[in-house]
Amino acid sequence: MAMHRSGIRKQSAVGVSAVTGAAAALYNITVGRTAIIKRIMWQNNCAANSNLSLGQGLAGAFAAVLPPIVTLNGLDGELNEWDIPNVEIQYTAALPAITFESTVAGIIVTIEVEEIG
Amino acid sequence: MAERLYAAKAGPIDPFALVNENVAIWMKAMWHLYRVMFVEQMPRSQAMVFDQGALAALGNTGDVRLINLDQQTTPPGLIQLRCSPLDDIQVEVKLGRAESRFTAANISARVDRFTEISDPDLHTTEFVVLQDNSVWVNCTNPTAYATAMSRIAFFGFRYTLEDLQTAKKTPAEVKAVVNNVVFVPSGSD
Repeated sequence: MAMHRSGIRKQSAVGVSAVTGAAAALYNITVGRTAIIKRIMWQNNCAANSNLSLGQGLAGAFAAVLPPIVTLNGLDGELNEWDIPNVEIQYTAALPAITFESTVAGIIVTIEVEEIG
Repeated sequence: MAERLYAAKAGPIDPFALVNENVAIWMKAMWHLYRVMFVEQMPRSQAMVFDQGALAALGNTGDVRLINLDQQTTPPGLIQLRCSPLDDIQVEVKLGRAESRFTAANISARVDRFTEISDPDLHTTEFVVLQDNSVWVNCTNPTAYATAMSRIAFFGFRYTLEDLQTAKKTPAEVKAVVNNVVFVPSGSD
Protein backbone atom coordinates (compact mmCIF):
# COMPACT_ATOMS: atom_id res chain seq x y z
CA MET A 1 0.00 0.00 0.00
CA ALA A 2 1.33 3.40 -0.92
CA MET A 3 1.97 5.62 2.06
CA HIS A 4 -0.76 8.21 2.34
CA ARG A 5 0.26 11.80 2.24
CA SER A 6 -2.91 12.98 3.88
CA GLY A 7 -2.58 15.63 6.52
CA ILE A 8 -4.74 17.05 9.22
CA ARG A 9 -7.07 19.97 8.67
CA LYS A 10 -6.53 23.15 10.68
CA GLN A 11 -7.90 26.66 10.39
CA SER A 12 -6.69 30.16 10.96
CA ALA A 13 -8.37 32.66 13.20
CA VAL A 14 -10.39 35.38 11.46
CA GLY A 15 -7.91 38.01 10.31
CA VAL A 16 -8.33 41.53 8.98
CA SER A 17 -5.84 42.37 6.26
CA ALA A 18 -3.35 45.19 6.52
CA VAL A 19 -2.29 47.31 3.60
CA THR A 20 0.44 46.24 1.16
CA GLY A 21 3.82 46.52 2.85
CA ALA A 22 2.41 45.69 6.29
CA ALA A 23 1.70 41.96 5.89
CA ALA A 24 0.73 40.19 9.10
CA ALA A 25 0.50 36.55 10.23
CA LEU A 26 -2.76 34.76 9.43
CA TYR A 27 -1.87 31.15 10.25
CA ASN A 28 1.11 29.95 12.31
CA ILE A 29 2.42 26.70 10.83
CA THR A 30 3.22 24.01 13.40
CA VAL A 31 6.95 23.52 14.00
CA GLY A 32 8.33 20.80 11.74
CA ARG A 33 5.31 20.58 9.49
CA THR A 34 4.31 21.91 6.11
CA ALA A 35 0.94 23.43 5.24
CA ILE A 36 -1.15 23.49 2.06
CA ILE A 37 -3.92 26.07 1.79
CA LYS A 38 -7.19 24.22 1.09
CA ARG A 39 -9.80 26.92 1.46
CA ILE A 40 -9.90 30.70 1.58
CA MET A 41 -12.98 32.62 2.73
CA TRP A 42 -13.18 36.39 2.73
CA GLN A 43 -15.35 39.46 2.94
CA ASN A 44 -14.32 42.77 1.43
CA ASN A 45 -15.02 45.33 4.13
CA CYS A 46 -12.70 47.96 2.66
CA ALA A 47 -15.23 50.28 0.97
CA ALA A 48 -13.25 49.75 -2.23
CA ASN A 49 -12.16 46.91 -4.48
CA SER A 50 -8.95 45.39 -3.14
CA ASN A 51 -6.48 42.65 -4.05
CA LEU A 52 -5.86 40.02 -1.37
CA SER A 53 -2.47 38.28 -1.27
CA LEU A 54 -1.39 35.25 0.77
CA GLY A 55 2.25 34.39 1.24
CA GLN A 56 5.09 34.25 3.71
CA GLY A 57 7.10 36.95 5.42
CA LEU A 58 5.99 39.96 7.41
CA ALA A 59 5.68 43.59 6.33
CA GLY A 60 8.17 44.50 3.59
CA ALA A 61 9.57 40.95 3.45
CA PHE A 62 6.26 39.54 2.17
CA ALA A 63 6.47 37.13 -0.77
CA ALA A 64 3.23 35.85 -2.28
CA VAL A 65 2.67 32.11 -2.73
CA LEU A 66 -0.47 32.57 -4.83
CA PRO A 67 -1.53 35.21 -7.36
CA PRO A 68 -3.51 38.07 -5.82
CA ILE A 69 -7.26 37.54 -5.50
CA VAL A 70 -9.43 40.42 -6.70
CA THR A 71 -12.12 41.06 -4.08
CA LEU A 72 -15.01 43.36 -4.86
CA ASN A 73 -16.26 46.10 -2.59
CA GLY A 74 -18.86 44.84 -0.13
CA LEU A 75 -18.90 41.26 -1.41
CA ASP A 76 -17.77 37.99 0.10
CA GLY A 77 -16.23 35.01 -1.66
CA GLU A 78 -14.36 31.79 -1.24
CA LEU A 79 -11.95 29.49 -3.04
CA ASN A 80 -11.89 25.75 -2.41
CA GLU A 81 -9.08 23.25 -2.77
CA TRP A 82 -9.93 22.34 -6.36
CA ASP A 83 -9.39 26.02 -7.27
CA ILE A 84 -6.12 26.46 -5.38
CA PRO A 85 -2.68 25.20 -6.51
CA ASN A 86 -1.22 22.61 -4.15
CA VAL A 87 1.46 24.98 -2.87
CA GLU A 88 3.21 23.40 0.11
CA ILE A 89 4.49 25.98 2.56
CA GLN A 90 7.26 24.96 4.91
CA TYR A 91 7.72 26.09 8.48
CA THR A 92 11.06 27.74 9.10
CA ALA A 93 12.16 29.77 12.08
CA ALA A 94 12.44 32.83 9.85
CA LEU A 95 9.10 32.19 8.08
CA PRO A 96 6.86 30.52 10.65
CA ALA A 97 3.50 31.68 9.35
CA ILE A 98 1.23 32.13 6.34
CA THR A 99 0.85 35.89 6.09
CA PHE A 100 -1.53 38.17 4.21
CA GLU A 101 -1.95 41.71 2.97
CA SER A 102 -4.23 43.63 0.61
CA THR A 103 -3.99 46.71 -1.58
CA VAL A 104 -6.67 48.37 0.57
CA ALA A 105 -6.69 47.34 4.24
CA GLY A 106 -9.73 45.68 5.75
CA ILE A 107 -10.48 42.34 4.05
CA ILE A 108 -11.75 39.84 6.63
CA VAL A 109 -10.16 36.45 5.91
CA THR A 110 -10.10 32.88 7.22
CA ILE A 111 -8.11 30.05 5.66
CA GLU A 112 -8.24 26.30 6.12
CA VAL A 113 -4.98 24.40 5.69
CA GLU A 114 -3.88 20.82 5.63
CA GLU A 115 -0.74 20.23 7.64
CA ILE A 116 1.60 17.34 6.84
CA GLY A 117 4.37 16.00 9.00
CA MET B 1 -5.05 -19.83 19.25
CA ALA B 2 -1.67 -20.40 17.72
CA GLU B 3 1.34 -19.59 19.77
CA ARG B 4 2.67 -16.22 18.76
CA LEU B 5 3.97 -12.89 19.90
CA TYR B 6 0.78 -10.85 19.75
CA ALA B 7 2.57 -7.53 19.21
CA ALA B 8 3.73 -8.77 15.81
CA LYS B 9 0.15 -8.98 14.59
CA ALA B 10 -0.87 -6.10 12.33
CA GLY B 11 -4.42 -5.06 11.48
CA PRO B 12 -7.59 -4.58 13.50
CA ILE B 13 -7.47 -5.14 17.23
CA ASP B 14 -7.95 -8.69 18.40
CA PRO B 15 -7.74 -10.22 21.87
CA PHE B 16 -4.26 -11.67 22.20
CA ALA B 17 -5.60 -14.73 24.02
CA LEU B 18 -8.99 -16.27 24.76
CA VAL B 19 -10.34 -17.94 27.88
CA ASN B 20 -8.23 -20.81 29.24
CA GLU B 21 -5.21 -19.88 27.10
CA ASN B 22 -1.79 -19.18 28.55
CA VAL B 23 0.00 -15.87 28.31
CA ALA B 24 3.53 -14.90 29.27
CA ILE B 25 3.66 -11.22 30.14
CA TRP B 26 6.98 -9.39 29.91
CA MET B 27 7.46 -7.13 32.91
CA LYS B 28 10.52 -6.18 34.95
CA ALA B 29 12.77 -8.23 32.63
CA MET B 30 10.90 -11.51 33.22
CA TRP B 31 8.16 -13.45 31.42
CA HIS B 32 5.36 -13.91 33.99
CA LEU B 33 2.93 -16.76 33.33
CA TYR B 34 -0.82 -16.31 33.57
CA ARG B 35 -3.93 -18.07 32.27
CA VAL B 36 -6.89 -16.11 30.91
CA MET B 37 -10.11 -16.56 32.93
CA PHE B 38 -12.27 -13.89 31.32
CA VAL B 39 -12.15 -11.44 28.38
CA GLU B 40 -14.34 -8.41 27.75
CA GLN B 41 -14.37 -5.66 25.10
CA MET B 42 -13.82 -1.99 25.93
CA PRO B 43 -15.29 -0.05 22.98
CA ARG B 44 -14.03 3.39 21.97
CA SER B 45 -16.60 5.73 23.48
CA GLN B 46 -16.95 8.84 25.57
CA ALA B 47 -16.12 6.99 28.78
CA MET B 48 -12.81 5.93 27.24
CA VAL B 49 -11.85 9.49 26.22
CA PHE B 50 -9.57 11.32 28.66
CA ASP B 51 -9.10 15.07 28.44
CA GLN B 52 -5.90 16.50 29.89
CA GLY B 53 -7.25 20.03 29.56
CA ALA B 54 -6.05 23.20 27.89
CA LEU B 55 -2.47 23.44 26.72
CA ALA B 56 -0.52 26.60 26.00
CA ALA B 57 1.34 26.92 22.71
CA LEU B 58 4.20 24.39 22.65
CA GLY B 59 3.26 23.40 26.21
CA ASN B 60 2.94 19.95 27.72
CA THR B 61 0.89 18.45 30.52
CA GLY B 62 3.70 16.65 32.29
CA ASP B 63 3.08 13.06 33.31
CA VAL B 64 -0.57 12.42 34.06
CA ARG B 65 -1.88 9.16 35.50
CA LEU B 66 -5.08 7.88 33.88
CA ILE B 67 -6.37 6.27 37.04
CA ASN B 68 -9.65 5.20 35.42
CA LEU B 69 -7.75 2.73 33.26
CA ASP B 70 -6.36 0.95 36.32
CA GLN B 71 -7.27 -2.73 36.67
CA GLN B 72 -8.42 -4.80 39.60
CA THR B 73 -5.71 -6.62 41.53
CA THR B 74 -7.65 -9.66 42.83
CA PRO B 75 -7.87 -11.66 40.71
CA PRO B 76 -5.21 -10.02 38.52
CA GLY B 77 -6.61 -7.72 35.85
CA LEU B 78 -5.03 -6.66 32.60
CA ILE B 79 -6.05 -4.27 29.86
CA GLN B 80 -4.98 -4.27 26.20
CA LEU B 81 -5.38 -0.85 24.59
CA ARG B 82 -4.90 1.13 21.43
CA CYS B 83 -5.15 4.91 21.44
CA SER B 84 -5.37 8.00 19.30
CA PRO B 85 -5.64 11.68 20.18
CA LEU B 86 -8.74 13.61 19.14
CA ASP B 87 -6.96 16.97 19.27
CA ASP B 88 -3.77 18.16 17.64
CA ILE B 89 -1.44 16.88 20.35
CA GLN B 90 1.41 14.41 20.62
CA VAL B 91 1.03 11.71 23.25
CA GLU B 92 3.90 9.98 24.98
CA VAL B 93 2.60 6.78 26.57
CA LYS B 94 4.13 5.41 29.78
CA LEU B 95 3.41 2.34 31.86
CA GLY B 96 4.10 3.55 35.30
CA ARG B 97 5.62 6.97 35.41
CA ALA B 98 9.16 5.91 34.65
CA GLU B 99 8.73 3.60 31.69
CA SER B 100 8.05 5.12 28.26
CA ARG B 101 6.65 2.87 25.58
CA PHE B 102 7.63 2.90 21.90
CA THR B 103 11.25 3.78 22.54
CA ALA B 104 14.45 3.49 20.54
CA ALA B 105 17.83 4.06 22.14
CA ASN B 106 17.61 7.81 21.75
CA ILE B 107 13.97 8.74 21.10
CA SER B 108 10.45 7.99 22.22
CA ALA B 109 7.88 7.71 19.43
CA ARG B 110 4.66 9.53 20.18
CA VAL B 111 1.09 9.01 19.03
CA ASP B 112 -0.39 11.96 17.17
CA ARG B 113 -3.15 12.63 14.66
CA PHE B 114 -0.92 11.51 11.81
CA THR B 115 -0.52 8.04 13.30
CA GLU B 116 -4.03 7.04 12.30
CA ILE B 117 -3.40 8.17 8.71
CA SER B 118 -0.54 5.73 8.10
CA ASP B 119 -1.87 3.09 10.52
CA PRO B 120 -5.70 3.19 10.39
CA ASP B 121 -6.05 0.24 12.79
CA LEU B 122 -3.68 1.92 15.29
CA HIS B 123 -1.83 -1.36 15.59
CA THR B 124 1.43 0.44 16.33
CA THR B 125 -0.12 2.17 19.36
CA GLU B 126 -1.05 -1.04 21.17
CA PHE B 127 0.12 -1.67 24.71
CA VAL B 128 -0.81 -3.81 27.68
CA VAL B 129 -1.15 -2.82 31.33
CA LEU B 130 -1.15 -5.35 34.11
CA GLN B 131 -2.56 -4.93 37.61
CA ASP B 132 -0.62 -2.65 39.97
CA ASN B 133 0.52 -0.59 37.03
CA SER B 134 -1.07 2.49 35.48
CA VAL B 135 -1.22 4.23 32.14
CA TRP B 136 0.53 7.58 32.27
CA VAL B 137 0.54 10.07 29.41
CA ASN B 138 2.42 13.25 28.64
CA CYS B 139 0.60 15.36 26.05
CA THR B 140 2.47 18.01 24.05
CA ASN B 141 0.87 20.76 22.01
CA PRO B 142 3.18 21.11 18.96
CA THR B 143 1.40 24.18 17.59
CA ALA B 144 1.93 27.88 18.10
CA TYR B 145 -1.66 28.17 19.38
CA ALA B 146 -3.19 27.29 22.71
CA THR B 147 -5.50 24.28 22.54
CA ALA B 148 -8.67 24.22 24.60
CA MET B 149 -8.63 20.43 25.02
CA SER B 150 -6.19 17.57 24.76
CA ARG B 151 -8.26 14.43 24.46
CA ILE B 152 -7.07 10.86 23.96
CA ALA B 153 -9.42 8.02 23.05
CA PHE B 154 -8.68 4.43 24.05
CA PHE B 155 -10.26 1.09 23.14
CA GLY B 156 -9.38 -2.55 23.53
CA PHE B 157 -10.00 -5.57 25.72
CA ARG B 158 -9.75 -6.26 29.43
CA TYR B 159 -8.86 -9.58 30.99
CA THR B 160 -9.11 -11.36 34.29
CA LEU B 161 -6.16 -13.68 34.83
CA GLU B 162 -5.13 -16.62 36.94
CA ASP B 163 -1.60 -16.17 38.22
CA LEU B 164 0.43 -19.34 37.56
CA GLN B 165 3.08 -18.10 40.04
CA THR B 166 5.87 -18.64 37.56
CA ALA B 167 8.32 -16.19 36.02
CA LYS B 168 11.13 -17.07 33.64
CA LYS B 169 13.95 -15.19 31.99
CA THR B 170 13.74 -16.65 28.51
CA PRO B 171 10.96 -17.81 26.15
CA ALA B 172 12.58 -21.26 26.05
CA GLU B 173 12.22 -21.58 29.82
CA VAL B 174 8.58 -20.47 29.56
CA LYS B 175 7.87 -23.12 26.93
CA ALA B 176 9.41 -25.77 29.15
CA VAL B 177 6.61 -25.02 31.63
CA VAL B 178 3.65 -24.48 29.25
CA ASN B 179 3.97 -25.40 25.65
CA ASN B 180 1.23 -23.29 24.09
CA VAL B 181 1.59 -19.67 25.17
CA VAL B 182 1.21 -16.15 23.81
CA PHE B 183 4.07 -13.76 24.57
CA VAL B 184 2.84 -10.29 25.53
CA PRO B 185 5.18 -7.40 26.34
CA SER B 186 4.02 -5.06 29.10
CA GLY B 187 7.02 -2.85 29.53
CA SER B 188 10.23 -2.18 27.66
CA ASP B 189 13.30 -4.40 27.53
